[in-house]
Amino acid sequence: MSSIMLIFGPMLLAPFVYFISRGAEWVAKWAALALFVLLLIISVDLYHALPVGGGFLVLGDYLRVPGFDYALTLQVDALSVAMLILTAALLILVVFTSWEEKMQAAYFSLLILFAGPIFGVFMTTNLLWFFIFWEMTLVPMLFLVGIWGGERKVYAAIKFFLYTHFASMFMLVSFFLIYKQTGQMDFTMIKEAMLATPVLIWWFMFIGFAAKLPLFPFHTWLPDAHVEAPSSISVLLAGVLLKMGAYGLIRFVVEMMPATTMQFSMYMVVLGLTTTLFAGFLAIYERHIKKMVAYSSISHMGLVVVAIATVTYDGLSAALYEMIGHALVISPMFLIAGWVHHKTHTWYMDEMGGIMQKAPYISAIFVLAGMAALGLPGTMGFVGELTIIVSAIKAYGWWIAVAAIASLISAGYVIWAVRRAFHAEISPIVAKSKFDMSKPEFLALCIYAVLIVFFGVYPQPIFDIANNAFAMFGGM
Amino acid sequence: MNSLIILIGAGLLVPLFFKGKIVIAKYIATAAFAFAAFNVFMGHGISMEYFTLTPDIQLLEIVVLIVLAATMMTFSGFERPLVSQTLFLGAASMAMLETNNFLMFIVLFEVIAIISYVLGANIRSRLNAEGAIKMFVAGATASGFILLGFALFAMVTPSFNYAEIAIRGNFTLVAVGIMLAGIFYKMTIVPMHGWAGDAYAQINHSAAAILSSVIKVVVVIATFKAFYIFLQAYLNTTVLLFSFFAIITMTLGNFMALFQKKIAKILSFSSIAHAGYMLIPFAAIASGYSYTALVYLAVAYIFMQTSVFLLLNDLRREAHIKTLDDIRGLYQRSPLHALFFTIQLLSLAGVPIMAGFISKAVTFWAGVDAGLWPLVLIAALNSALSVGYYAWVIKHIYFDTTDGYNTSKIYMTPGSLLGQLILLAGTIYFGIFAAPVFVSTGI
Amino acid sequence: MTSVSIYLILPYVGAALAFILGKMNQKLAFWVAEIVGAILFGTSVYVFMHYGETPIDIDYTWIAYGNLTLPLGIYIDHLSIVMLLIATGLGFADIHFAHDYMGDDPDQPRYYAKVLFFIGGMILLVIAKDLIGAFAGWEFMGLASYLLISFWFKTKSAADAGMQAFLYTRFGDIFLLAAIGLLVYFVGNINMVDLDSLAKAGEIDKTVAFITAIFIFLAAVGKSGQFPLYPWLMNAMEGPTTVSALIHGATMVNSGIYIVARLFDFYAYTDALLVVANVAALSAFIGATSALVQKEIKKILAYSTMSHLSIAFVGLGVGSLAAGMLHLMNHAIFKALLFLSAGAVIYIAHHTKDAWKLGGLIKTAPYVALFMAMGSMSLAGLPPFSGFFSKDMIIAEAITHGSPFVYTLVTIAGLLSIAYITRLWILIFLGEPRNEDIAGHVHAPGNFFIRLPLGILAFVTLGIALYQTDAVEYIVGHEIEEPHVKGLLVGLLLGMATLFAIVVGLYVKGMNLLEKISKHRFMQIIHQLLFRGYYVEAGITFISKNIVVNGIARALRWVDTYMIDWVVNATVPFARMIFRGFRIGHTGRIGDYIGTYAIGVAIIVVAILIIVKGV
Repeated sequence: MSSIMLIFGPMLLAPFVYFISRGAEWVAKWAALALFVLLLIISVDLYHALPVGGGFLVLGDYLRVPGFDYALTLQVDALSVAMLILTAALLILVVFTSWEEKMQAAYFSLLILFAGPIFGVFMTTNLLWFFIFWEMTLVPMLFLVGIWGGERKVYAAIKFFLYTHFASMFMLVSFFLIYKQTGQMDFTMIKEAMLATPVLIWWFMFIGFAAKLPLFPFHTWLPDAHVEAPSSISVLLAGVLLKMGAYGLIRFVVEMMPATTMQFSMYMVVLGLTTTLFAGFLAIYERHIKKMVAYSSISHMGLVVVAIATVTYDGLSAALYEMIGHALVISPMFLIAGWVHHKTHTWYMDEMGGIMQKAPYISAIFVLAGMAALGLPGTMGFVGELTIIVSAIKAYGWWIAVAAIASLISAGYVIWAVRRAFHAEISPIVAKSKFDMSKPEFLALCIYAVLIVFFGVYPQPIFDIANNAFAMFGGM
Repeated sequence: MNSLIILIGAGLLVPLFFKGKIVIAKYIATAAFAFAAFNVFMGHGISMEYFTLTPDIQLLEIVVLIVLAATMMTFSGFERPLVSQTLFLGAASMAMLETNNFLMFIVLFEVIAIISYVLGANIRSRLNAEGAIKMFVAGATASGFILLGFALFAMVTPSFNYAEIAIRGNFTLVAVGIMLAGIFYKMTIVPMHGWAGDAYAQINHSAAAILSSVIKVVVVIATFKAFYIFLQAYLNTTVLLFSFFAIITMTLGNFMALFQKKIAKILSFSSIAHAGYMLIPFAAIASGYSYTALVYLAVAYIFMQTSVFLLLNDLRREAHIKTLDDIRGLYQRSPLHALFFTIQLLSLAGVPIMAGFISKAVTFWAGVDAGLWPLVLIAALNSALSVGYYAWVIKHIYFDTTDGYNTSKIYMTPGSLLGQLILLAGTIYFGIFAAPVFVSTGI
Repeated sequence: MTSVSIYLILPYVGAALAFILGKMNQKLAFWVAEIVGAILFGTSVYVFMHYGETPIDIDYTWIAYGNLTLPLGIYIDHLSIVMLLIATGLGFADIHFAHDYMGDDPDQPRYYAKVLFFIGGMILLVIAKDLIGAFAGWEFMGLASYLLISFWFKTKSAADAGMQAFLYTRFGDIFLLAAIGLLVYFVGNINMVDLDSLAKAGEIDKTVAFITAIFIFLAAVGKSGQFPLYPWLMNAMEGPTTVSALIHGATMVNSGIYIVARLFDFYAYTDALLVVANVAALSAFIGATSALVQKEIKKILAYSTMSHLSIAFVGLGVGSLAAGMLHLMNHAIFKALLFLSAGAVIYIAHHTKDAWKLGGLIKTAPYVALFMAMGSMSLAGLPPFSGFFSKDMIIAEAITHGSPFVYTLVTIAGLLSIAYITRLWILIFLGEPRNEDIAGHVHAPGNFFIRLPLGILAFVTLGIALYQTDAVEYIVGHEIEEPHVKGLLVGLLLGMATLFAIVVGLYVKGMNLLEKISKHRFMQIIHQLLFRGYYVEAGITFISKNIVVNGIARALRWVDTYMIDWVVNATVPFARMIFRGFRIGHTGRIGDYIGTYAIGVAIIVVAILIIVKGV
């Protein structure tokens, strides 16, 4: 099977699925599920095909254009494959959690349409194609948020689209500057020494990725988009789209131009820490349950940036782990926050209360995910936080230990949220609501819970991937 | 030669069928375009003195003819006066694109101007009339400038062939400047754009589709070919002047489109903004990619712009849709129109994987290649800004519902569907496959 | 090896089983927990009996990433075994006791699952070789404590107490996390055994050692309820009494002392022990004085727990590992006994927790009264009970090695324990019932599930007094010569006797006098101060609520909404402004368009003129 079909297959399939399933909506759901399972199998297969000891696996080279380095070069290494597996797994779980979504034909067709470019982002090594896929992912998201979203969906969708699109433009210009200065569009060929204006390029790229991550002060699109999006789409936004930013940061900022990154790493660390603490404090003050989760998500991505900024073997490994951990931890929180709203029709935690009495198991999963978010040992959150703090201290010195405050702040908002929404007496709003959940959704939540604990207790598989991915930093 | 005769002959023939069924006229015209396109594809150009068919022009001609054919398919009885003019325009465009003689360029420029006045004169309301008059008056003024400049230029050059044009000091410079002033009018460069913002929105949308896309593109490409030697000769002036006009054109176009209520106005200002992008290759004349970039922009733009105006024409004709409020919840009333409209708008906005993005990307690359990255950054941010109003239209189509508005279904005629499919295919094909343009322009 | 796998797996499997089987049949939950508890205790006894010459020492690399490895080793030596015996033994007794106490609760599966999870965490802490493992166990207990305090989360106060407990201890824990990071960087080793030997060899930078030691101690302060992070311990009494007995009386709160003891050489290497001693002495005083005036049985016990943990800390702080650990062990046993007795009292009195509403219970529950009296005497430090030996030893050590501040406060705290515990016992058991509701309805406790565990604990607390020197030798590895302080014993006994007499006099015979005294304004101020625990809770609440949440967080929220996001949203009106500006030129009149056209031509002409001139 041609690897290019991993990208264009879903994109071609999407319209067909839409037109076929307009009469029978279940077709779309099952088609999406089958496709994503297939993608997961192929991704895992790719992992086993990777060359031992790091490096890229060449998958192909398509659409070559004479005179212009605009070739769809597909190469994967351990980092990309890790992201592919994460994406495919999350997409499967998203199908489960959107089991009862309305207008299924269109919804699942858009999901299928989304799968193509997101795979492209992680598979191509050509800068321009990377940008193409990067931007393409916005389109299905625009519609998924704009059509299936909440009350302020239009504002959120357009803000999200415009904001990230604006920031990407800096990235595009920097890619062309790179091409101009090196004559290469394939980042595996580009060496930092070939660049004439590395500083300019670095900052332009950084802006693009920072807005996606998002880093303070480019973060304000995220709470709106995440809150208004349907929960499953919030999962995709947090689990996959933000990871694109971190992936880009690792790929283009750190791996491609390590020396310049070292030069500016202090800015990155400070921005990362500011993001973590700032978003953490906002989460503490937040009454809105999903916004609280959204700020928590931003807060964790700040830690990822701190880890990336170390530009060391272990720091990047920790970043990769935290990226995956963040995806798995924040997703059930988003799902449950959205579900609570769906059942109670209120967003505000102080109007809730006592949900645990009516829905003990789902509340327990929220508590578990919250514990992971605050970094309790035995969950993915702890391993991520610990490894990041350890490697960041190693890279920057003792003062980075203030990052530990993040885990106090996260404890603050998680426990405070549990106290307000799930514990204590049943509030009138909760009393008249019925808390039920479809079986596939609950199954997905359980899978999240199992994964959080499994990889929290036994994290080495993920670090094996990371060690493979960043082996070239071993000597540094 | 064959294609020219066929097109003009068909143009003269079709009026005979205007009284009866327009379908026959459409068939004839479509067949004529198809024949001409096939002819060009086989490498048969006009093949007369002063005309040469190079691969890049071949590609452009095929695109123009196919787009005109697609336009033809979407025509209904309302547009019957346009059929023969479109055929004449096809012939004139071929000639304009192929010419390698400055005199021919000026003559054909005027020919196309006249065709455009006639296209605009398909008057059915006061608004149409107003638009047509604006276009005519402004055009006449511009023609004067062009002729003045040409006269000055003619005094000093020994030959009008592009290859043999001579540059004689400041005289030529002044002449070129004055000619540009006229040509900028047709290209709707700010501040010579005033008429276009109104005229594109006011005249018949199908005429606007042709005016704002085919005619603009043909003029731009021909101008680039004709002025190439001057642009090269006064490199610093070129960079400064064209960068300046590029920036103000796209900025003003985009900001003016942002808060419009009439969809046609949005599209006409988006067309003006695109004229700004088209100036970037001029400014980046030092780069070897500038011509490729311009051709790519032309090819991509012609598909997108024609398509959106024709869709709007359909909607206005079938459902009297004029403003953003009217297209609320369009996806419920007509999923096909909504889908086509959305894809073409996203392409105009420069969202991958449609031609709009890659054409802009190549343009930006040409700019960076010429060392003009600040200009490119401004252009890129402008392109991001343009998403603001394109997404706003999409918002009305998909995110709003028809509550409280007209909810009647809108049907797409088979001809319209076919035409739109052709245009969509073009948009997507050139979005994924860049090789044809690069190969034909010889990079 | 088998025992280690049992320790690492069984509690969690047991917890899951207790929950799942318990959901099928309520009764099964208890029996699963009972069996698991018995096996764990049995394992500990087995390990104790078959302990070889060398500790069980297993190295395991948990995470290998980049150039770093994070280990997760197991290390069981005498210290661990003592802690294991305490944790599993008291855990087993507690589970057994809960059969009746929690018998009416519909959520038993959840209860037993959480308790087993807690025991797992405690075991993990004491058998961990590395700080990461210790931190894991530490946090497991924190989670279990949170879940168990807010076990009755239906009530607001329990939910609040759980939240408070978690956040207070978490505040300390982040320092432990930071210490791990710092140690990896500066020492390259987070193995607690190695840290000790490195410190002994003097191979660690003194500043680093001091700072990390203080950081770890801050975590211990949170966990063991020392000043100023103790208020959570008092509010934790909202949980079931069995939970208070196990977690907040006997085991988890000891973990702070354990970790300092485990890193004793590391602490001794720098001046960190001084900090420990001073903070602990202050806490001991605060705890003892506040315990004097509390109303609720469990709060009195909680303050006494705080005070006694501090005394053990002082033992460590003045440089005697043996004294500290000995007191930890003795305290764990008699405090479990006291809490469970209190639980029995509360159980038979239908969940009345206010000591002032009880009274005269000696008639209904003489055995409970007896066992509680034995526990009380041990707590008070009366010979020949176990408490006497350790407390005496600590005070002697403090006088010999400590500063005046330390030994004065710790002596006062040690003496005051007889006062508050006597007061409690008298209020519960003597006199007449002071509450009409309870008067006739008290029922007698059962034998097997209430009296038996109490009896065993009472027996142990008496019996272990015989093995004090053996215990010390077992923990430290060699015999310890207790420093001899002249007249100390006599002084202490005299002081205790005096206090005992005063309390008995006031509470048995002189109720009227007591009332008069307490009406006095000055006394009321003192009473309030003590009753509120020196207003530390109020202060912390003020800081966290008004400064952190409503101050900093709110200000940042304002910045976010009205500055950062304002800029983003303001782009729309800003663009509209530009749009309006541009629109001025677009009048729709052709004349104006020709005018702008002329401007364009002028621009070109001017540009060309400039170039022509310039060329």
